Amino acid sequence: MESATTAGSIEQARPAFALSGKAKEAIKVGLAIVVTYWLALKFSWMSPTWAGIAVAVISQPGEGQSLYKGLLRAIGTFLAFFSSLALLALFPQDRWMLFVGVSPVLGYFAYKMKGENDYLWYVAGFVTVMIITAGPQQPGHAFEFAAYRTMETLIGIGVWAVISSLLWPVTNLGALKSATDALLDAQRQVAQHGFELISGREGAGSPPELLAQEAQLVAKVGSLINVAASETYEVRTVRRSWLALQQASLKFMHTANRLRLGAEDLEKIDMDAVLPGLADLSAELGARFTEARSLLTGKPSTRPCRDVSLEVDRQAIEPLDHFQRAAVAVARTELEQLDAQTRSMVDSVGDIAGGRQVVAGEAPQSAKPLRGPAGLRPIDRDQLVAAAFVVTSLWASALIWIYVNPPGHVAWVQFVPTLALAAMRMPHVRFFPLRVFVYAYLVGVVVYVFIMPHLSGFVQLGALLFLFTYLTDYYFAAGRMPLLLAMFIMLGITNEQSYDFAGMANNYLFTMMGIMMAFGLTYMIGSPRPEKTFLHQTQRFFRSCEFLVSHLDPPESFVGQVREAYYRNVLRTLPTKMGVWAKRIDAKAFPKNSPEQVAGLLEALQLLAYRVDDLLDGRSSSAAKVLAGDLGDSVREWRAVVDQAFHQWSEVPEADPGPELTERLSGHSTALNARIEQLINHSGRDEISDAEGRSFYRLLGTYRGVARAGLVYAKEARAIDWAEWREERFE
Amino acid sequence: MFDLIPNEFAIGGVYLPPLLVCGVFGLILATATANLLNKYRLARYFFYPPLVFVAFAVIYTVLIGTFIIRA
Repeated sequence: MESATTAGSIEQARPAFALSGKAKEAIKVGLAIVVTYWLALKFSWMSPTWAGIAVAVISQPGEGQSLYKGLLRAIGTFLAFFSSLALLALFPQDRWMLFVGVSPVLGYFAYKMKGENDYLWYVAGFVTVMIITAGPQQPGHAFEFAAYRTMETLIGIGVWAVISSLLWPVTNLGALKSATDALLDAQRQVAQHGFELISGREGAGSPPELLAQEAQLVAKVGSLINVAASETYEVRTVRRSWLALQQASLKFMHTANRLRLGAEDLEKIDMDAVLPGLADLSAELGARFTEARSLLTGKPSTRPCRDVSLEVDRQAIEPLDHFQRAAVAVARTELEQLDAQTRSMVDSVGDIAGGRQVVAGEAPQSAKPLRGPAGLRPIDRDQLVAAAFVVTSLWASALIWIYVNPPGHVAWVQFVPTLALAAMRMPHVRFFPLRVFVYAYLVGVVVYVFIMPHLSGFVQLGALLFLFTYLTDYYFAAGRMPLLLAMFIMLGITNEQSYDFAGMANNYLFTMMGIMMAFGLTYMIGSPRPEKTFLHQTQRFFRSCEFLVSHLDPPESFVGQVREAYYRNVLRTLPTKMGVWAKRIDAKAFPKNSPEQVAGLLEALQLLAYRVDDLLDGRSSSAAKVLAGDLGDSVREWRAVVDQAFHQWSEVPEADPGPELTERLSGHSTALNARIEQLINHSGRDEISDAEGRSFYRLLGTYRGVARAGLVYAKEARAIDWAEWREERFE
Repeated sequence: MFDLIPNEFAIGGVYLPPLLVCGVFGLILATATANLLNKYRLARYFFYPPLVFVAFAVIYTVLIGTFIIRA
């Protein structure tokens, strides 16, 4: 069995006429399509196209998420099978009630369509619509339709599984190990740059390319674990250990990011003097990453993780003001988190190498998604919009079918919601898949008109299918799926094949109209221009910040908790979503706003999100009571200032807080510093050695961090030409 | 000169409705116009460009259908 990562070395060693990896993959897909069609035609199944489509969708070359994707497709199809039959049983002979009944089900599937298993919900959504509308096509055969659809999907998955595991099998184990190794190396470099940055030895920190690579590798390792576990026993037995490693890496990435973004607060502090163990910790983390990479290759352990003390040097911290001490407390907490996370990573790699599965209860706590009251997940506005959009597309197409009945007929109700679901899976590339379909269908028309009528018998048909699939897979890998789907739908292969030009022309016309309608409907959820979406998201971000800072006390009512969970979720997830949209902004169309400037703005927003989140985490501590009690007036005044700034930015993202507000944001700190000094002098406490005191400084640091992050945002926002983004343009 | 252009288009013996042909040309011209307006930053004077694009497509289709292809 060869591994995905070793393909290069295998290619170098192969004889002159050996097939390339790409050719092998194309042959495998072509063969699977031919075998699937042969089975479906041999046994006269209802629509052989369904089985062909299943293979086309799940057969992924190279990184081959095939079996896992097949599993998701199978589960999605089963979900659709049961939900659609239940709906048909509940509302027989009543089309309006049926559509009313299917709307929440489809909306729910569309809402769930996010994260790594979004494909499952996507399949469940469109197959549900297909089965419930099978009635008008074949009255009384809805169950048969649903059963065939499910069975043929499973057969397609089965055929691909057999062929891919017998013919030139490629597993993802090598790819997983290689990606993990690259991730550990990238994080070692990130840690090194981070330590240099806070020690003041280097001003730049990690280069953006390294940070982007780290984020990509964390996501890649996460997606490959389940894929490799579905293929390989070696991964399946230690899957939880792999997941623990990935979670530790993810947390490390976030903590290192916080440290990097907050480094500006430490620039006037000699961190090596304040935290004498800093250099030691830096060396220890580097050694741990090296050890983890070594363990991953199967080598025995060479060193245990060493404890490093991060005690504060009293003499060095004495001259610092209270806000500087607060910044040190925040950084120290983050450094301790890095220490724990790297330790967890080494332990997980040790478990993987030793074949030990982490016991569920002993697994390191994963980065749990945010929960609202009663353990419910907070509402995701974007997913809610996606659900509303998909349901609207269902109703719009149903009304067109019932009252206008253009070419395509009931297929409108199947096609348009399917396109809507596809568009909502990747809202930032809204029109791209639709545009590919336009070209792909054109190719299907050419094959249908000029080649298909000349074929007789399965040998010739099989040869055509193999050739088309091979060429598509080999030469047009990027657009292979739309091409294959369009081709199979357009050809509509059955045992009693008949050719009808008018039917084909109507089909093409319907397809184009459906695509145009789906695209037109997307305007319902806003402009497809990424810069416009970015603007709205920025305003939404600040609305969330404003709400959270102005409602800092933990809510008691259920509604209050739901609202807080919603806004907090926005704060945590929006910067990442904005990053995806920002990459789609056409830099050539907006020369005044370079990608670097946009990246700077995003970093400022991310820093703000971290600091507000920290503030909420620390609000229930005993230190918070001290702040609320002894320094209550000052803190309230500070909150009012920050609140005002957030309110301004939620309306006008580029609003200059003005010299007055800026001065108050930074000048206020001086006044607060004096109040704290006075307070400590009165109490006569030893503020550093005391754990409570440390907690106090940490919270003070987050308060200060929010204001500082706001000022960083204001600086970045000034560099952006917002008017240019607001200017109207044609798509 | 325009009288010489046939009202119907036949491709491989298949007659295409004139409105379809007008519509296709209308879309192409509307796209070209939109690109030109974008290039010279004139699109900013419109309140809602997507609707303007549809209007352009309709106007061009009607003009082509009236004066050139005669749908």
